[in-house]
Amino acid sequence: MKFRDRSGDDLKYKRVFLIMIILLLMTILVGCEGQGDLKIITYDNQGDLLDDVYVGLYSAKYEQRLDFAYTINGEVNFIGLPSGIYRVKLVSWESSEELEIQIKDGESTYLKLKIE
Amino acid sequence: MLKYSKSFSTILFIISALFLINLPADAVSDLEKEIAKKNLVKYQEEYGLAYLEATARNRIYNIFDRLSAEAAKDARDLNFKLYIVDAPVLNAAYLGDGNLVLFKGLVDRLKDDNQLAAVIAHELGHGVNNDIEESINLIQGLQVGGVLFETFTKGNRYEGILDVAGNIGLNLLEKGYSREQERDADEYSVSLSERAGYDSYGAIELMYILKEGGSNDTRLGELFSSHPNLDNRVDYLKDLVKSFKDAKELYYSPIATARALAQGILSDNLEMVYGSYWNKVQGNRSLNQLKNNKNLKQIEERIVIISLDNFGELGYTLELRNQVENTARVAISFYDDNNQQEDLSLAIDLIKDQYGWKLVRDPRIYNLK
Repeated sequence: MKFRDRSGDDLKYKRVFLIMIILLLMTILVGCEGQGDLKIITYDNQGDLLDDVYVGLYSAKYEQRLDFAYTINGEVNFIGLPSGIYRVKLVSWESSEELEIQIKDGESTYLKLKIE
Repeated sequence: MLKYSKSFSTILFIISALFLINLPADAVSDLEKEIAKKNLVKYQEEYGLAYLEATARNRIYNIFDRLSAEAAKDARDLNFKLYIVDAPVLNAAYLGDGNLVLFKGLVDRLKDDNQLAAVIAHELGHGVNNDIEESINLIQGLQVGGVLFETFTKGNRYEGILDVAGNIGLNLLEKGYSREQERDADEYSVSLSERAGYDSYGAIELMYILKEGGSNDTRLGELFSSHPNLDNRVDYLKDLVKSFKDAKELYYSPIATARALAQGILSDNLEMVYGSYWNKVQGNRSLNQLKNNKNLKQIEERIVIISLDNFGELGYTLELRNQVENTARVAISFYDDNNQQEDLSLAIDLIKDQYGWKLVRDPRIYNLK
């Protein structure tokens, strides 16, 4: 009876296994992204903190509202946002403002805004 | 070398297939469009479109227009269309890509607008919930599994892949929707009927009519499917309709919800407080967990202190401070009845959903030092 030499096959299996692991890791890494925080502080014309301002957080092209909050003691915080470009809409009784912001991985973005 | 190449391509195929199955599908896929088209042709060829008197036809399409206009807000990628098929059965179906089918047997039986709205809203629910796409993904997953099995056992991968697309439409018609999808569509039906101005009690009446039966054929549609059981369906629909109607009375505006919350806080009625929260918040936090909530405990302590300080009953005022895109900020100010002095002011953030205006987060104290 003749036995096959399996050392060549083993090497091939190891290579295939390695490629598979690399592909899986790439898939996982592509799916992961960094996170950052956003803090917005609103003031009125007299420089006093402004409450009850609507702060809406939207996707870059306004397709979707991702979160919202109203200012309390002049501020709102959005914690752990995936890094990327966002649109922010601020609405008080008197006025409305829109802006684009970039959230970077591991960074906190602070915005101080005077609402006219 | 050949063996190595085959193993490698097989693994690559598995990874690609798994990756593709998990890709999110925002818009209607070409496959869903193709399946919907085939199913629609099948129904039309087999039974033909029903002839209806102008009055009856206008009545049905008016109801459909009102409901689909409202449902389109939840599924902007769908263009809803309704077909009435000439089959004497009590059934209806959602075929995918916005296409709904009602059978003449059911249309003839339902005399009440609310019952008809319940059927149409249920089928629209399958569209809004993307149920066809979900089923396609599930069946695709199962069939990709079958293809892989064939690849390993027979090596005829390419024939297998071609079979996947061909069999999906047939599978969808035969298997219908899952129990969970049916429940979600029922829930959507109640919600949509109320939003469009119909009485959601029509959904319960519809179940009684289906229970009475008549000529049915479960292969033609999913409304009269054996799952979930019709008795269970009546029970949970009764609970659902009641909660919608209660919510409509209690939480019909930001101020109404703020009132319910303020009364709950003052009377130490935690269930009332819990009921004013958004169902997504309730999903993450039970009533028991709310009892130990730090923010609410802080508010309760302040209420107790100011009550003792003032030797009197506390009153409250409610003020709508802002309202934007189905969200609102309301201020609740508690004051002593005797000296009318404001002692504690709370900010609450609300969102409007199918159960009315609800709290999206815990109340916070203004000017908290």
